[in-house]
Amino acid sequence: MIQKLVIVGGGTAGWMTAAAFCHLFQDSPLQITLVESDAIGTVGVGEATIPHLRYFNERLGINEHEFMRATNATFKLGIMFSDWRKPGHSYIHPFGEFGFATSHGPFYHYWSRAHQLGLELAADEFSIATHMARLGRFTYPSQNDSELLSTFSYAFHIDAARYAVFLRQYCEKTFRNFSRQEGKIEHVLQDSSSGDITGIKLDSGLAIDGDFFIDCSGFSSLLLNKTLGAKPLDMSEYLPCNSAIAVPTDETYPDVPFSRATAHAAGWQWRIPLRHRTGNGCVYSTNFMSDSEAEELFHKNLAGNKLADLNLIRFSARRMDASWKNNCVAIGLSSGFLEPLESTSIHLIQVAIMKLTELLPNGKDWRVERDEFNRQMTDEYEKIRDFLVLHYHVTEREDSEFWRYIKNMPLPSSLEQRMNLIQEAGIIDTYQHGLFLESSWAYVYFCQGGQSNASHHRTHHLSDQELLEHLRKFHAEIAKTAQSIGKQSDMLNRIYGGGEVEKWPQSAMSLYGVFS
Amino acid sequence: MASVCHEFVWGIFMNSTRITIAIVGSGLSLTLSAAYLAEKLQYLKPIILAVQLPEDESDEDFSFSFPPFSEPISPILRQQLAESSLRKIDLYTPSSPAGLGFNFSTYGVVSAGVSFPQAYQICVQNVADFPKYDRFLEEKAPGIIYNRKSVADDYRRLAVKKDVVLIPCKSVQVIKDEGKIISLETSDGQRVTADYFIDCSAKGKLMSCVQERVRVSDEIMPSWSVARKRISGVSSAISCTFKFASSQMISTINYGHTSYEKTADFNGGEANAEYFQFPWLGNCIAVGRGFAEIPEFLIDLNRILEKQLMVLSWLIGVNSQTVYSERHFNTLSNRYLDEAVDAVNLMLCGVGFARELTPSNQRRIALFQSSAGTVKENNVFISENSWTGLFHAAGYKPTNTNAFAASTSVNQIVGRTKSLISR
Ligand SMILES: Cc1cc2nc3c(=O)[nH]c(=O)nc-3n(C[C@H](O)[C@H](O)[C@H](O)COP(=O)(O)OP(=O)(O)OC[C@H]3O[C@@H](n4cnc5c(N)ncnc54)[C@H](O)[C@@H]3O)c2cc1C
Repeated sequence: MIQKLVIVGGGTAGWMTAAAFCHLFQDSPLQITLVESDAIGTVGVGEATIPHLRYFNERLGINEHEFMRATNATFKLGIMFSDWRKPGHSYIHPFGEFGFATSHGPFYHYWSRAHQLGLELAADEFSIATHMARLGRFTYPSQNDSELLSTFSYAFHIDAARYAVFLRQYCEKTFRNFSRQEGKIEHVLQDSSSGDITGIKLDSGLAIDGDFFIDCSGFSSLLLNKTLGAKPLDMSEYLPCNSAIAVPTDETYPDVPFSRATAHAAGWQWRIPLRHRTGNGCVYSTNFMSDSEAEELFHKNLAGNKLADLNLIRFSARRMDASWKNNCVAIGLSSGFLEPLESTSIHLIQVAIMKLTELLPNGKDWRVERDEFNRQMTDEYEKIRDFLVLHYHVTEREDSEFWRYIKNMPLPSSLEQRMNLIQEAGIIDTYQHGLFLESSWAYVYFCQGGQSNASHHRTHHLSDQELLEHLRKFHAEIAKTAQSIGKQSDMLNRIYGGGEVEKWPQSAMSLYGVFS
Repeated sequence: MASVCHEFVWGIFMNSTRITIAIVGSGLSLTLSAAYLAEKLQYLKPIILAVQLPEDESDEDFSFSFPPFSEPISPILRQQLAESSLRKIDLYTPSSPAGLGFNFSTYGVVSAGVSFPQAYQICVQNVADFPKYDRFLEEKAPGIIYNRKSVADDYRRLAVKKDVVLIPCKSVQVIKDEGKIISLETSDGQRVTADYFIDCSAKGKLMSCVQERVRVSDEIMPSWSVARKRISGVSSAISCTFKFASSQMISTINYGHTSYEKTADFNGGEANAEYFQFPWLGNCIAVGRGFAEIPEFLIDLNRILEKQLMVLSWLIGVNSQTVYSERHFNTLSNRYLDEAVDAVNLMLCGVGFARELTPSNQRRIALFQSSAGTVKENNVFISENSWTGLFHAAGYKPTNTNAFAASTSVNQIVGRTKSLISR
């Protein structure tokens, strides 16, 4: 059994890992030490989450309203993608099911056929979350699975720095064997024969030994890459964005329960509305846009006053060939990063933590568990990669070198087969393990302008006329239901003001609702 | 093309603008496929020709299924269940090397965070004579035994009601051109043309004219022969004894009976595990027993057939181009087969009848033995829970647990786990 666990890094990854381990090992003699450096700081971004984070918090026994107040959170019902398909076009990828399935099959077949028949309503119109988002409404999903309001989920926009503080307090409160150490790591000590890490040495001279290490050191990947030699696997040929400039502004949007991702000539710009400020960032590829061009563009699209200096972040789409080597597991940016689109990075942290707690063996021989962990993480990364590439590749945009490159680049074979199958047979191939499932693929593929040559005969129990009528009626019902819901700001005021507010619903590891 | 004089030319004879599907096989595979496709493709208005060959020697009288029944098999099974003409079995218990039962059901939840396999491992490590693993299996999904012939007949009636044309014959000859099936000639001189030929005949009689079968390595699955015997006194029960190479035997009594048959009459000849690498090739699609041959315990080929039909019903007749549909169908079919092969291989290795675990079983077993973990896969037939049941049934044991379970109080785990039995 591991006696001393050392977590290197105090960003979102480090603190989430610490909190999970403190909670799970409450009754054990395990000693947990987290080392972070104020001088180095954290990456300072990562404010948009997905619904799975609720599950993580719930496992830790965290009160959701307390968490919201501590992190200045607002609700997130999805992401609005503007100018991705073509300039002037926008859609929402909601946290919700795409329509409803019938006994004859999934809804997307009906929508796709109706679309071919000239239905003017876009795919995202068939989600209650989209309507609520556009209207600035928010309510908790219903626990009654026969109701329309049970078919969506929600996440948060959070202040990541405050989340770290919140989790730190949690660790210190929960676990007597937890300690936090401030300082810069200057040396990593290894066993000369096995290569295992035995300890770290801080700039103060303090040495901390351990028998298992979790590398949450961010992009520097201090233990996994720099010490143990894990190799980065580059994915930038598919996801060419490699830089971001980020800055918070003072503007607030109390009735915008969604993030924005607005495409530009060589990337995209985010806007994440928090309770007290807005997080902004411009993501771009330096192969197609210079830093100064990006900065100029960013400023042009920025609303409100800046609350800090611009934070320039370099990254590249990559993951390490193994997240677990020797007695070290990398979690967070140290194990890989694709790009900020679709807010998947905190989710990958959560998934890695959950897999690690499930697999970490009691003994000292962890080769089998390590291989399984690495296999599962590779699978997670690759599925997310394909989904992100989909946003860029399925587009009508050819108005800049960046978009022309992406349109014509070779695709990962898994994505190519998936897209070809949709085009040929109208089928979305789905899987059991992985983040984005059928509804997400359908929303993004169709809203980006993806086509299918198939009109599925299994939907022909409805005539053309009946189909169009049904969908229009269903849409009207969704719109009406959304109208009946209160504003997000009212809900937030009650949560923040400590007023009477209903309890949050049970969470699920799902993007689409409590029951899916 | 053969120059015989034909009495009838099915397909061409009929309205040629409609898609024509010829399904070739016998017994339940044939009638189920015909009825299901007729139902699911009804708005395509296809012409479905069911070329019915004589029942194969190896056609079993009885089969089993577990609710929720898959889409294809459910209409008739539900109906027969409602009419109480089916026999429920509480637990599917092949006599296993470890003498344990195994079912496709679940075990109880011990506590949030500690999985059952982990908890069970801690219990057996700490408590002498802790109850056997199978005592904890919840019987949430009792299996049912059904009479294949009676279900096949019901499906035949259903198919005919849905305008499927039955063409009984003794045998068929395949007329092909450049690897593509052009038509079939039945033993009584009828010619059958179609856009698609679906082969659910034993050993894939059509598909073997365009593609050779691939053999699963002997190390993974040795050849076998089967002896079937009715169990006296139980009308709907039959015992299947599988004899694998080197004259060892494993016996699976599928139908509610647990006994270890040591002698039996193996008169069916030896069979090898074989399959077609491309179950959809050109205009020929091999399903169920037309696609593969494996010893049918744990997962029978009917279950693979059902899954394949479900996929197929979404792909056929949607587009004249089928390059990616074929690839998709082939990938899924092979995945289903792999899982079935894995299940059998695991049992065979447990008892020492097979020498080598499949690569995926190696991963599964290594993880289970090391810390009672289960590999996350896209399981189709056997859930993570059931895999663990299977490991125990095959006699594999973990040596340890994960760190989290190990750090939880033993008394608490033992207490909670034991209480599952009384529930
Ligand atoms: C532009 C951009 C936008 C993003 N947006 C999102 C988003 O919206 N949603 C989302 O889910 N994710 C997003 N991410 C990812 C997200 O920011 C990260 O996954 C998350 O912040 C976790 O980071 P981390 O903890 O791994 O690394 P960091 O935050 O970089 O933390 C690293 C820690 O290691 C410490 N450290 C490093 N070296 C040493 C040393 N030598 N000695 C001591 N300590 C050391 C640092 O002090 C720090 O505490 C985004 C990322 C980028 C680049």
